[in-house]
Order: sequence, then C-alpha cells, then structure tokens
Amino acid sequence: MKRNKRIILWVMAAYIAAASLTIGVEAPVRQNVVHAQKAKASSNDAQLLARAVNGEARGEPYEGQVAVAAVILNRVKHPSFPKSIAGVIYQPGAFTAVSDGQINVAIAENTTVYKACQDAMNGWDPTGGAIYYYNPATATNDWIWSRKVVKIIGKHKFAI
Amino acid sequence: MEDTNGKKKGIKKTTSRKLYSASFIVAVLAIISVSAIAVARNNELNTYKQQVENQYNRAFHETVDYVRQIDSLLAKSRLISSPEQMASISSEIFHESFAAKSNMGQLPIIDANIDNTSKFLVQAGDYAFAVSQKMAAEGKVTEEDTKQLSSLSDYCSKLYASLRDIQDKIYSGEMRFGSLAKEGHNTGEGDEVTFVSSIENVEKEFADYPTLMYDGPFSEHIDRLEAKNAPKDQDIGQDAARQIAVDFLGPEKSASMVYNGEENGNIPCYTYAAYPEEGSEERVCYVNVTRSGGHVLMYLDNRAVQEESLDFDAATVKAGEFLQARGIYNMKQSYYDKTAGVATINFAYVQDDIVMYPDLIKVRVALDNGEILGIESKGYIMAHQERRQLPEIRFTEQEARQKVNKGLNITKSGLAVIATDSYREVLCYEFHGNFEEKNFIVYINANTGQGERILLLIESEDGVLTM
Repeated sequence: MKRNKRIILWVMAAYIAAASLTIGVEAPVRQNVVHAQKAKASSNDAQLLARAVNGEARGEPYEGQVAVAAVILNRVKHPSFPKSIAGVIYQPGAFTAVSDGQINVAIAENTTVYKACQDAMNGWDPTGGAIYYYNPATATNDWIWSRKVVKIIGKHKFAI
Repeated sequence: MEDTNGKKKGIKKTTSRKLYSASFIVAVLAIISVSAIAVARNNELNTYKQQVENQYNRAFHETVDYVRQIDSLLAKSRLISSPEQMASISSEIFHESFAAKSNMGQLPIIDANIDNTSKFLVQAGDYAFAVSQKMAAEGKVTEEDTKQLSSLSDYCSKLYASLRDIQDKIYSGEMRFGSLAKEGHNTGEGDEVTFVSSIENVEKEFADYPTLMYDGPFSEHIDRLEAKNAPKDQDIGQDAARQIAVDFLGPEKSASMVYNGEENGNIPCYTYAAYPEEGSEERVCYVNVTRSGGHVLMYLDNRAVQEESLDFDAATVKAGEFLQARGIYNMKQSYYDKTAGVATINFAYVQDDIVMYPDLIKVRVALDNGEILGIESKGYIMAHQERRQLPEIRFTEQEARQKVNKGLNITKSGLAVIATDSYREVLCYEFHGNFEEKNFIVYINANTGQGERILLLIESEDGVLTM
C-alpha cells in the first residue's frame, strides 16, 4: 500500500511537472513596452529601427550596432528585399530578434542604439553595403556561408 | 485488549483508506485539470497556427493577383502609341509591382534563392516608368525599349503560370506553408520546405533574365559604378593606409590605434580603431581608408557629447577648417541636421560657382567643443573630379525661370549639378523659393529645359533636411 501511495504521489508530481512545463513552454514571451518618451529618435521608422538593433545587437560594439542598422537600411534599397523599414524588419524569418520577441525588450536608458541608428540613417555604413550578417558560432544555415563576407565586427560576419 | 486493539486497527485501516481515496481523487482532479489546460493550450496554439497560415495564404494570393495584373499591363504596353498612354500604363505597372513585392515580403521565403524573380518585380515597374519618362522627353519609344518590354512581358507570363501552379497545389491541399518561418533551410521535415523549393523552381524560369540598363534606381549599371576617385585595381598597401589613418586622427587619438580588419564592400578599405580614453573601450574612433587612392571613406567617433555651446554657424566653420586641413578644398555646406548634441553637415564641391551635389562629404561636429566626430565621403569618392566636363547650357536662366511653376516665389537661383536616382549627373538651374509658407528647391535642366526635381525643405531648430 505504501508503494501504491508512493506511486500515486510520483505520478501526481510528474503530472504537475509536465503541466508546468507545458504552460512554461507555451506561455507567450513577456513583452515589455518600449518607453516612447525616452526615444530621442523622432520618427516612427527610427523607433522601429532602434528596437530591431536593440534586439539584435545591444551587446555588440558600437560599430556593430551601426552596422546592423546599416544592413536593414541597405535591404530597403535592395531589389531582393521589401521596400520599407517595417517590411524588412518583419519579413518572416529575417531576424532572430523578431522571431523570438527580443525586438520587444525595453531599450536601456544608457543605450547607444539610438545614436548608432542615427549614424546609420545619416549614411555611415561600416560594412560598405552589406545586406546579410550572421554569427558563425550559431548560424545553422548552409546557404549563408556562400555569401561574400565584407567585414567582421564583434561576433558577426557581414556579407553581400 | 484484543478488542480494543482490533478496533484501533480498524480505525487505522479506515483512516489510511480515506487518505488513499483522498489522494486518489486529488490525483484524478490534477490529471483532469492538467489535461484540460493542455487541450486549451493546444487549441490556442492551433488557432495561432491557422492565423499565420491564413496570413501567408492571403499574401500569396495577392502576390499572384498583382502579377496577373502586371502581366496584362505589360502585354498592353507593347501596343501603346502615345507618351500619355505609356505614362498611364507605367504608373499602373509601378503600383502593381510595388504591391506584389510588398506581399512577397510577407511570405516565409527569406532564404529562398529568388534574386532574379525579386529583381524582375522591382525592375518591371522601374523600367516601365523610365520608358515613359523617356517617351515624354523624346516623343517616341525606341526599338530597344519595345524589345525589352516584350521580353519583360514574356517573363511575367511565365512567372504568373508558375505561381498559379503553386496556388493550385495549395488549394488542392498538396502543399501548405507550415506555420513558422525559420532561419535557414529546413531540409527534412516541415511543409514550408516544399513552398520554398517551389518558389525556387520559379526562379529557374529567370535563369537567363537579362541585365537591364536604363535610367532608374534599380538599373543594373548602378552596382557596376566605379569610384572615380578610387580606381579598382590599385592598392596603396596597409602601411601607407595606416599612416593616413594616423595623420587623420592626429597623435593623441591615434596613440591607441589598432588594425580593425578589411572592409571589402563597394570601395575596399583597410579599417582601424582607436580607443582614446585610457583603460576604456567604450569610446572608439573608427577610420576606414580606401585601398585605392588612400581616402578616408568613413570616420566615426562615438563620444557622448556634453552640453551644447556651439551653434550651426560655428560648427560649420569648424567642419570647413577640418576639411581644408586635410586637403579638401572648395566645399560648400548645404543641409544639416542635429541629434544628441551632434550636427551632421553636408558639404558639396564647388567648381566655378556651380555646386556639384554628387561630390558629397558629411561631417559630424560635436556641439560642445567643436570636435569633429565623423566623416562620410562615399559620394565624394565615387563622383568627384577636379574639373568636370559640363554639358552645354542651352537655356538661359531667364528661360529656365519661365518653366518653374508660377506659384513659386523665387528668392535665390544658381547653377548646380545633381544626380538622378540612377546616378546620372545633370546640370540644372536651382531655384530656391517659397509656396504656401513652405520652402522648395526646383531644378530645371539647363541643357534640355526639363524639370528634373522638386525638393521640399523640412526646416526645424534641429536642422534643414530635404524630402
């Protein structure tokens, strides 16, 4: 009987664990709303660009942040990509930070991403026209390796 | 004793039996509730999946629809006889191809190899527009253009047919988008692979898609433009580049300078990074020096600026001095913009009082102490020539003035060279003026007398920009 009880207790524990796992897995990513009033950038596009760069490259050196912003802007001008900043950023599967919700993470107060985005919008492009970038340590995509690498910044390779 | 004992045992038995059934009930309840939650979650997930699938279906359906429209418009374009007809058809093609492109951008095909298909959709509208512009100027279509339009029309028919095939497969249930767009090719499982590979099959029809050269922003010649100031086959070498970077930064900033790798974009560079604040990597100065010509293509210092004490005029003087100190003369400031205490000022080359807008250098000036925090000189390196051969001036300023809309109250005028969207340079009269309390610049081609461009000036306390 003691054994039965123990089994029941184990089964219960397992179910509860499983339940919390299911809930944990499927619970939507908590989305922090970016505080708009902190945004130095005035326009709609500048704000979206900053959120994307924050999600993709907030831990990267300044040059890397400018470069990620530049890639997004280069795509807008490139025939193979959508023709607007929102179109490029939200293109399905285009950016990890959009797929996993990192784009919605609040932008820190002492951030450099607004400055980096502004520099990119003013025409500064450390990559000389790249339209792709990837982290060679985590890239799972064979195809991306075939693109010509034009610059390496931090942990990203920038390619055309 | 025995009796009591037996009773006690009985009591114990019933208590444990109660405990047993209580825990059993709890367990059953737990199982039921957990299953209920799981079922609810699963339903929710399926709803999301379905919604995503529906979005993809809508975007694809619309893409096919727009391509059908472009197809019939291109077919019609082969029979047009007047510039007006071409103007109307081309603006429709332009609109439909923009919409097709926008819908295609919502499909999970980020890494499908469909460069030529994408290019076709962009160029169809762009090319038709260029032809219509040319017709308006010259009054007729050239044979070359007719041939090109008919070739584009053939490609569009093929594209439409292939897309219809995919659509049939989707309707018959043979193919689904799958709910998630993942990074990378998912070889193996997942329905989206089928969609991506079907789309890639469409690309095969475009294998010998022609190279289109025309007067538009997506013309093929743009990628092939060579920097006038940095011919491709030269290389000054790393030592010389390093010296240029050191001279550019000055002894203080360059003390901590390190090589930062190559940059092999349109204008190949050797790049350097300096860390002017000891023991900190927060502040960095980046310098990119072109391998050919040894120009500073890009300079960027990310210093945080303190309280502003300079105005734009003072900043412009500082920027001008900086350029002259580096051997860049005859530059005139045009537009400027201020963000986070930094003024970004555009400078253009002046030859015989004519402003050469393509020879553009942007300078960032810190408004706290006037320090130069950045240079961006791609325009200058691509386009600059000491003495340009200018086209003949066939219209006087007075004649050009007649071609400006009478509503504009002209306040200033002069000659300038501007670049069109396809980087074609045109010599124009530049008329500054105001209309209904907004400021504009109108450009009239000094050689053809045609209106080339109208700029709206956006003026605020943070600068003057154009739209």
